[in-house]
Amino acid sequence: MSKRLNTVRPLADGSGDASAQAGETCLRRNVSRTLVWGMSASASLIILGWILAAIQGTTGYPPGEYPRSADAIARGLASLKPGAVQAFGFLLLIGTPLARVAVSSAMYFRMRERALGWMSVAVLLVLAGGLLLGQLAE
Amino acid sequence: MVVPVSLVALVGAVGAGFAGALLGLGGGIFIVPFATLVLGYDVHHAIGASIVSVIATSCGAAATYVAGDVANVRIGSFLELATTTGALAGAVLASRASSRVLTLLFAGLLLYSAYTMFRARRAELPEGVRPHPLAERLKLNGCYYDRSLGRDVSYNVANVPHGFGVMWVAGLTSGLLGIGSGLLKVLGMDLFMKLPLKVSTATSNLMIGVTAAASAGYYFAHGLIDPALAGPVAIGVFGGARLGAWAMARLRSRTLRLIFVPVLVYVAVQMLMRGMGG
Repeated sequence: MSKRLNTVRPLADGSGDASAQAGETCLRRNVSRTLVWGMSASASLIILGWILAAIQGTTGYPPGEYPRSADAIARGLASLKPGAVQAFGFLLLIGTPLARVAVSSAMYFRMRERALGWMSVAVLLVLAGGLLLGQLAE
Repeated sequence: MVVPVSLVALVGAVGAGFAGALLGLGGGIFIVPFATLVLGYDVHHAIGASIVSVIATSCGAAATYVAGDVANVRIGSFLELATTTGALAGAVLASRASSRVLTLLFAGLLLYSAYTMFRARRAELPEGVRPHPLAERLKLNGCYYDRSLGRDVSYNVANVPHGFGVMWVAGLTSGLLGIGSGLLKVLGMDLFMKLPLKVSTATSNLMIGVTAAASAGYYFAHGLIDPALAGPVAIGVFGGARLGAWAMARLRSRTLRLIFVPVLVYVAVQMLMRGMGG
């Protein structure tokens, strides 16, 4: 797949010079890498949590429970509680698509594609607004 | 007791990830019935695991699709604005709208889409598509290498405002009913924007992760992501999604369409039953 990643093909409308094509390749590569790294890191933490639970014989929390606040996760990680390691893995997984949008946005601004860059910023703001609304509704 | 359930969840999740990546749906529609009927979890924890599965499918499959240029990142970025604002509107309106009427409307739309897709079952690629001016301005038209055809496929993007509107409705439906986001994304891109089916499913895979992440935070904070279920689901779905992405590149669009139609009918019947029962 990495071979295809480095290929440069004309767009359907024939637009784009060499630097624009290089920008497109860079955009795809960075987006793809963000997804792979995010998923690999979270999957590794979830599996590490299983291994630690098998060694310690407990997740460190009651069945079905896990630390939910940043504070509780940090404390659990410091004492290598398997449940906290897995919870951190889930948080990384949830954050991966958002990191992808942030990376795309930065890339668009770098490529001087302001319209798409601002759209991606708007998506992040809408998601933040949704979280805020959810907390206000609590 | 926990280990066998985790193993069953892992195996089931591989299948859900495979199908989700192949069809651009995220696997949620398979995980919820699997977790409730086969594994005996309550529906809230099943939905929590389903959201995790959608994000894992999105990350696993989209990484491959983006690298292979089958998923169009620009189209995804453009349409995400519609899906996220639609989802937010849906969440705000959720308590005021009649979910029964919406569910029935959604079922009708799916049945109509299944019929349209079935009629187009012999078409491998869309032909004679005139690019919309906005598609040219935002450079949404693209090109990908189709392994099953053994050549590069260039494509244009049509009806951009209509596609944006359908994506807004997809987000709204997702926010109101908690379902159908991936299905409507694929249908919007395939039927309205006239994209090749592979580009539609791959780009949908890229986008569904963001929609799911929006609600995942809520489920995580409320303790509804049970690690004993969501852990194996995430790992299994990730593996299945990578396999699905590998398989999709090698399948003809016609074959993909023939797999898609029964899934549409299945979800439509489920929605009809839910709408009439509610």
